[in-house]
Amino acid sequence: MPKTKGQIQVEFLNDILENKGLIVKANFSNQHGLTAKEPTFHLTLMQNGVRSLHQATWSPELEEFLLARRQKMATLEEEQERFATLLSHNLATAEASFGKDYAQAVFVELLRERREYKLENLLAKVPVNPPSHDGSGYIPCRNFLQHSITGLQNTAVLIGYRNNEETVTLVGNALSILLDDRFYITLREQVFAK
Amino acid sequence: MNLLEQRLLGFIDRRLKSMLRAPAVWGSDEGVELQVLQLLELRLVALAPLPDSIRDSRVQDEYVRYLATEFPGSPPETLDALLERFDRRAEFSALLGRFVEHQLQRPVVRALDFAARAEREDTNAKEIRIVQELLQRALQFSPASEDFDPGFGLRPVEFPITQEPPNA
Repeated sequence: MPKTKGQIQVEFLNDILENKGLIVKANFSNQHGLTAKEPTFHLTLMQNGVRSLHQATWSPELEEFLLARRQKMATLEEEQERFATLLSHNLATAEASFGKDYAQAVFVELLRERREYKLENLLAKVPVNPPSHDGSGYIPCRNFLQHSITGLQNTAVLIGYRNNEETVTLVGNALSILLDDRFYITLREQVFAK
Repeated sequence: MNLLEQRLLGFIDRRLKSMLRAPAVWGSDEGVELQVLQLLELRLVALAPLPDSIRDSRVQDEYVRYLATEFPGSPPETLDALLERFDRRAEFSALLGRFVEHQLQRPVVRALDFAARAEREDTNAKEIRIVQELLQRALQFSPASEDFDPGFGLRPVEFPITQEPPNA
């Protein structure tokens, strides 16, 4: 079976690191709205005294590789964007498995319950009806999305953020970015300015 | 609370206070009693999302029960008539005031919030449909990125430490 883009990226980096290379710094870039481009890691590598910049579009394999290495991004803002991309990807897999509208409804229901992230203002701009709790998909969908949020918060602590308000704010801001993207909140404010 | 709701409730509260403080300024005891009841009904219309058939008679029904408690065994008459009958005219403000206080303290859910929320959700849904349409048309004129994978069909990201296994 041919390798995925992410697997090739991870192989390349493993090769660098096994040959006395280092990831000196990690940056993350993403653009939203009408000029959206693919989210990208920008890794400053050092090998044999020589620095080089390696740019790789986001993939789940590369993300897991960097998380396992406890790799933080250079700034808090970039970390938020990275976390938002991760959550967006996991939400997309839930949408593919359970249906887009249903997965989004379960996701929004979860976020309404997680008051610690203070997303009320954004959630007010999301036109999602409560999901049905009767179907066989509700529990697995909810568990998966719950795990994505809780797992990310735990991982933030693991990679070096303090287990307190800082982490909650970090994940909350990532969720804000995700909601804005999924439901075009900023774009709508610009298009329908009152 | 929107501006209309604020102004309406503010007006009702001020008028009720004034009528109870100096009822003689506002007319006869019977006239004041009926005005106070109407103001309480108007307040309930603004605040409680009850069906019309229940809401429209709620204040009256509770008032009748209240008077029955204060004047047990008496026929259903106005407070003014009951006080006249039992020579307790001096208690008019106090008795009416107690009923008003009870009405003001009763927790209500704001009907205007429900209507506003439904309207907001309709607006949100319409705006999203329009933006999606605009984006689709805009994307026709921009080159698609070959590298970007939106994630559909791929496995989810697994975290280094898991507390609960994912089920998707």
